[in-house]
Amino acid sequence: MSTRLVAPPVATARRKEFEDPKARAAYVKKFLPTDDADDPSTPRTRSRSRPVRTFIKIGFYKLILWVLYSFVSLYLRARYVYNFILNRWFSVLYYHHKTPELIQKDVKQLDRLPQHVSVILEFEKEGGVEQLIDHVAEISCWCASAGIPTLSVYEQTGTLKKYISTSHRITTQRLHSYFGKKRPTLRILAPHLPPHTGGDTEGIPDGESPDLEVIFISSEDGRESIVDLTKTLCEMAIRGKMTKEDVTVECIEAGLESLTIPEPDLLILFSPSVKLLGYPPWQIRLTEIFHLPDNDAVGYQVFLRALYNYAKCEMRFGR
Amino acid sequence: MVLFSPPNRMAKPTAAGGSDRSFTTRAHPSACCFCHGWKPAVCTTKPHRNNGRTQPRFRSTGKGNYSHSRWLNLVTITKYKPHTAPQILEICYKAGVKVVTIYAFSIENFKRSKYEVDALMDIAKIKLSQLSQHGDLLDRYGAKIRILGHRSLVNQEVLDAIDRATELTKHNNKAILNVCFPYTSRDEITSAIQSIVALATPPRQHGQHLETLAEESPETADTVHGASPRSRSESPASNTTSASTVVSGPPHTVSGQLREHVDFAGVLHRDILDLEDISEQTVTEHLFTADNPPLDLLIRTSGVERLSDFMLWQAHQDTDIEFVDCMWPEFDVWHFLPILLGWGLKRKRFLREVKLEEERKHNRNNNWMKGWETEEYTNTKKAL
Repeated sequence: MSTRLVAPPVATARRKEFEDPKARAAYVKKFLPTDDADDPSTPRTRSRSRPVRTFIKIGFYKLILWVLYSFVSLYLRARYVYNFILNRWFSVLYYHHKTPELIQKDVKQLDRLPQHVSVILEFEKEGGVEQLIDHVAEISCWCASAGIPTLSVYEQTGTLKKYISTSHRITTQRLHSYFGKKRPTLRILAPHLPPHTGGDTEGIPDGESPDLEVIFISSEDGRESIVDLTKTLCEMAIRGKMTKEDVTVECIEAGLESLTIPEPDLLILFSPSVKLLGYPPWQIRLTEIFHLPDNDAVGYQVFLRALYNYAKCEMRFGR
Repeated sequence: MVLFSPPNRMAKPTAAGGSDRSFTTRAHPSACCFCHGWKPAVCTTKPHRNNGRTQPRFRSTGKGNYSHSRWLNLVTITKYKPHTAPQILEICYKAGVKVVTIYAFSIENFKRSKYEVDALMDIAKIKLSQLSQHGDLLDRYGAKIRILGHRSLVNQEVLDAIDRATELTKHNNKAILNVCFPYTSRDEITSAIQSIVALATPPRQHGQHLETLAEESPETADTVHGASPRSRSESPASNTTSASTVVSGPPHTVSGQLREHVDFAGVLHRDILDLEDISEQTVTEHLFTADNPPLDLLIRTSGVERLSDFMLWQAHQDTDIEFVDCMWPEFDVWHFLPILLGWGLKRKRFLREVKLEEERKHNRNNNWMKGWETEEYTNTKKAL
């Protein structure tokens, strides 16, 4: 018993192997992991066996991804149908019938109204400028009826800025059809361009703002305006009027507000998902962003639901 | 990792047209006390179009729901699902996302009581050291941690913890975890503009360079001394371009070399000689996220639909923004995966569209007479 513990019996042939260090190394080598760099034969065998394995592996992962994607797209489609029906339902229930009183009635129960609403409109090739201006006119009418004093319209390419006087004419016509003779006064502005009132402010004393102010902005009022401000600040610093320490958040805010628009309270998107498309970044810090998932049209119900959402008010179906 | 929230209800200026835009937190008892449903806006950042990397960013923000009493809240923070962030991070890194950004603490949060702020700082310290341990999540996925924010607002102890964490994970280079602490986007843009202004201003403003120059070569120094007061007195009258060229030109040539420095992200900044060189790209390069790929996806939890001063410059163009109606601790795989996959689907569709358009362009160039199938083109675009 004790002898066994001390020296286990080893076959005589083996014992010889273990006594010789070279033989021992050769024996052990069989059990060691082979080094690829040393042995040129191994990589070949590996590369022969690997493609199948990797192919199956990648195929398997792709299958899983495909399954996941199909589940997600099923879910998205179901959501689309649900939202589509819901949006239709809302647009039937809430329609303005071009009557400011109806809009006022819809808005009356809200605790708070945004003072500055912003919308993002997209230029579509089919509709062209006419459709864009038509949307602006409609939204301005809703704002005027709801009692929102400022509306800013963001359109990425800046097409609207070229048609200020046309937009003013069409919007006043639309306001006329909503309100009749006593229509609200309107002023259309765009940064770096003279304001257009179309004779609306004749009756109003100086300094008093018109009932509705519409501001057209585009992507150049976003990053570019910040870059312009940077250049101005650099110039001032070079002239020695200010130092690096004078550049503060307040300083930039003041500069940007004079260059572009003030911070909006509510931003309404008419697109199915939230993409800001280059909307001025500095100004949207605390802006409520509203969009309806899977909605693709500019409609009164979107506007109204945005206002309800802003006031944190629940919408009851029907009136 | 614990993430806490920037104030959820930052007071909004009430009157839009009002001149007073000061930014004060409304003393709302329930909203103010230690809000920590950390709600992340997980966002993913978009890679350049041709390489398929993605980069989500999260942000966490709190809401009063988890915190009606601050005592209870302290418990909640530490106990309520402490694994949210690691779990989400793991999914991101496994899915091949390169950069994840988490909004942990807003500069506005300093307006809370000192007690709360101190507690938050302590937690940050602990979590940072835990996160950056060897062999933990970040090491496993080769991610380095970066703290973005206004360093001077944090006390020394926390700064040490931050530095230690950054140092420990410095060697990892497969992915990045950005933690915004204490951060606001406006502050970020402001500091970017500040550093641009500093680079555009000639070194004579710093004094030191002038003294050394004066010792070495009095003649050139004299001209510099002579030039600077003159240009200053002249500048109001002279027009802008001449002022900038006159003033910025000579000092640089005299000193003979441009100032250069490499920021923490490894981006090289040089002196700006011509103000016209300043572009959007320059500002982007001076932001904290200079070397990160563009932002792809931003997820904002807690059911509030605003950005709350997070990644404004980075997220206002092509970024997909998702608002999720749940608190950060509740935010789990089942909330996150559909968003990530939905984003992937959209991306696939977008790439297909781009490819189609390129093919069409190619066809049109080849035989421009036959290539005017505008109707078909718009139809396919609609279908997509």
